[in-house]
Amino acid sequence: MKSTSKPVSGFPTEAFGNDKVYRQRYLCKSTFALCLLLTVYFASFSFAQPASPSGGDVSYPSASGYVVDQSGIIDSTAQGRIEGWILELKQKTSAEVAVVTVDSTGPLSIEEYAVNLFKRFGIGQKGKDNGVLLLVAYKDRHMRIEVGYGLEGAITDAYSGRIINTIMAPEFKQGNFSDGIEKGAAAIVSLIAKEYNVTLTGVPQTVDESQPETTSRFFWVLIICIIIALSLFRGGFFPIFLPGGGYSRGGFGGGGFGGGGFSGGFGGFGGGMSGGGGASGGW
Amino acid sequence: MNKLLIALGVIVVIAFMAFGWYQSGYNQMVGLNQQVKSSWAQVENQLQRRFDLIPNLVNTVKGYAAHEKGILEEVTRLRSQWGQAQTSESVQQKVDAANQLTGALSRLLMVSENYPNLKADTSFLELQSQLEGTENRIAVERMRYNEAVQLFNTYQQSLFGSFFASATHLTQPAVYFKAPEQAQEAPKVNF
Repeated sequence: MKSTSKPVSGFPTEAFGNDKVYRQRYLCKSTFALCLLLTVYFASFSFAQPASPSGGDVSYPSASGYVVDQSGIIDSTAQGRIEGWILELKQKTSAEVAVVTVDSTGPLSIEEYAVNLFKRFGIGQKGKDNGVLLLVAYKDRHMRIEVGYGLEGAITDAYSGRIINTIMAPEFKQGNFSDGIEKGAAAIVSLIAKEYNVTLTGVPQTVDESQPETTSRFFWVLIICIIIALSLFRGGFFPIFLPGGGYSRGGFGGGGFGGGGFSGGFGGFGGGMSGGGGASGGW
Repeated sequence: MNKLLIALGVIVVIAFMAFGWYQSGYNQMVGLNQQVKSSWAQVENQLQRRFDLIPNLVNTVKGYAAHEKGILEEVTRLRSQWGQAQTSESVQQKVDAANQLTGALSRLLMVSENYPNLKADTSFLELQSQLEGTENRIAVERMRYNEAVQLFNTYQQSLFGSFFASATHLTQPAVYFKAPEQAQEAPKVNF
């Protein structure tokens, strides 16, 4: 710092004179004051934080995939199939479905828990809110289908109630949790597909495009209809349609129905919300 | 000359910072207020949905429990009271009207428990489930509205927020939509 006889303009030379020590101390104090001012300045931008919803005792699973089976009641092959449908639905319509099992929603009611979980996961596209959550609280013996704002027309409360009471609850009462959940998920996915006027082939577009799709599409639509019809009138379901039978490789070969190649298909949810639509039930 | 420029530069920077601070706080106040208003609009949508369901409900119950005129008339009266409250400016008035109607409806449903034929009627069951769905939606929107009110009121009373509250003329705290107290009185049944 070159020593000059000409004083800095505004510098209180009258108080300190040209003495370097005093000048440095003045600079230190000014810097300190400036830092303090800046801290206060930025602190004043602090915005109110919303209180966390509900008590701290509630635990939510993390969004590890479309199917989060915390209670461990879904067979892994069933889980693979369900994830396949959900992935294909998402690719074709942008709508998202999540299937979650937990032991208990306590201390919250299943309705409160479902709304919170739906928002935490962010099911469906932000803005469109085209998501559905199928939640089963295994130990509580409650379940709920929570429907995002955007799909309330496709999946009315009445449909949700029907899926719960006529498709899922009967299976659950017999202890067939995996089947019940699979059928419920199939029904939900079909309703959404119908709303968007798409048909599901069972093969997501990223996997095995070399396989012929035309025959499989027809089979898939037929199968979905049969599955829903059967589930309403009988108990038999997937054992009838196990791969390895005489069906076209397109729909039921290794890359499709069997669940291969779906890992890595989950890229997170779209940030959607629900408004309390749907229905609850128990068994 | 350099020192003058530096001093000028510092003043300009400070001016921008001050402006930025003012704009940020002002916008925050306005934004939070908007959020309160739009959440309230969502609440009202669901309350309107309930409003529309009630006439059918009253008629269905009347078909089976005609001499429960008391509660049926009360529901009808409180329903139109809610409708009238919609024209007022006071949020508190709207909240009170909604809560009174909630109470009367839950009493009506409790009374319906005493009529097995009514409970078996399919249109009653359908209406009851629609009503349950609507009440759930009301609960969700009410929760979100109250969260927006909390954010707004907290900022409004905060150290710097109160300055912006007067700057934006938003000095009135927003009204919470407190849930109605549970009506615990047992329905009187005359034998």
